[in-house]
Amino acid sequence: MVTAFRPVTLNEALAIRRTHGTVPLAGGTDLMAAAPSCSPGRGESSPSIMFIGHLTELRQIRMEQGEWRLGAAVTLADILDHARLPAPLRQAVADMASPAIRNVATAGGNICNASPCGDTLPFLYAQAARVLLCDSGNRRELPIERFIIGPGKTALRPDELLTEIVFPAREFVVHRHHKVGARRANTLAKLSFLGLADMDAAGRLSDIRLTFGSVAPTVIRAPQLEQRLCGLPLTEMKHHIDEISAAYDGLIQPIDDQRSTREYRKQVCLNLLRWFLEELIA
Amino acid sequence: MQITFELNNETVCLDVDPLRPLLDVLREELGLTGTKRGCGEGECGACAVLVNDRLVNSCLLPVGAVVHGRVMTIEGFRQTGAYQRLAEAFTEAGAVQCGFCTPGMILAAAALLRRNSQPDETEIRAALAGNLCRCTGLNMIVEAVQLAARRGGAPW
Repeated sequence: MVTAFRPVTLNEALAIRRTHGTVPLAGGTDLMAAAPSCSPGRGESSPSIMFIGHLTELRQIRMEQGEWRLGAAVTLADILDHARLPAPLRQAVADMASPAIRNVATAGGNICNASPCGDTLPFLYAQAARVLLCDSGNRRELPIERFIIGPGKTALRPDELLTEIVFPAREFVVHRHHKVGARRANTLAKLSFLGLADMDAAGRLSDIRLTFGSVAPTVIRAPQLEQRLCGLPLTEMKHHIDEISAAYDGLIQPIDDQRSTREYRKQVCLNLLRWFLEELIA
Repeated sequence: MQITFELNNETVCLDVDPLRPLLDVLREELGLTGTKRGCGEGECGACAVLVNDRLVNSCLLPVGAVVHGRVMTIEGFRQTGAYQRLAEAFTEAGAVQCGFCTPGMILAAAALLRRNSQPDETEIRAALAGNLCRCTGLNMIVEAVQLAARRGGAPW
């Protein structure tokens, strides 16, 4: 039998983490599906497990000083039920898995799993989200793109827990999210695209965020390219679309795998990018 | 680990590996075989049960996660008026063939109707999206839920 901990408070959980390490289990939907015979920690070197999904400190959704703060164990269903959370996040979550899985799977789990196809990640990268990491004495914040290192790898230390996800409560006038999968529900993305944009009163692009999921080890976002577009009058956009598309063509380097091919992924990404930019003009 | 939870309105206390899937505990320890094992990885919904009134795949839920929670399986749900309404509608619409997906479908429908007693077809399909049926082609099941919702009369 694998050792399992079920702390009552976050402080107790952090103390256990310091002493025993342990694999944190919030919803467990990824851990349970990945483990042999559907139960985690059954291998020879089975680590201990700590249940954290029930901790009330990790279940809060709060707005504080213009920022949303999501507890790590907030479920995907909680996000969908919270009508004031940003539409592109709720849309990304609505396209994830199935109701039964969304009732259990957590916001923190989707980040710590660090899958290239994590469906909340394009939004979090686009919004420059940060994660709050706590150990029993200290806390630190990392930008999402520095927390996720590569497939299945994060900067989480063995004595830390991801406790909160923080992002500006900033809505964009235009938002388009597309998840391309083999079917509508219960599917992993072949690729995904999120575009966010704002215009000023003079008809110029005042802010634009473009992210691509499932086409690289981590989400692709290129702030320097976005920066070059800011201030551009929308009337001139059509002269720049080819150039923008070429720049992203160089950045998007997907792979062939069981879900899709390199060519398909790249082409559809570029089509969605072009579609989004053309829509801005219209 | 000693695990206590409410199962079909009765308190149960078990000494089990907390990482065992709830599905295995229900079927093998407690003899409740109405909950089915299909894919074992959260794809098919045959193992769906209600935990704190929400639909959950019991194959992916370690039993240690339901400590102090309320679990309702098809055996417990059978005692309710809502079940009677859904069973009638499923029968009339031809929504049951081999029956393997049916316990999960009934509970998915119940979870939907509890939150939304007059769902439209899109909402019904979204609510059943994690439950696969290989016999009926799903359409009869959607019709059954529409029929149950239209008739109403149940305390969903």
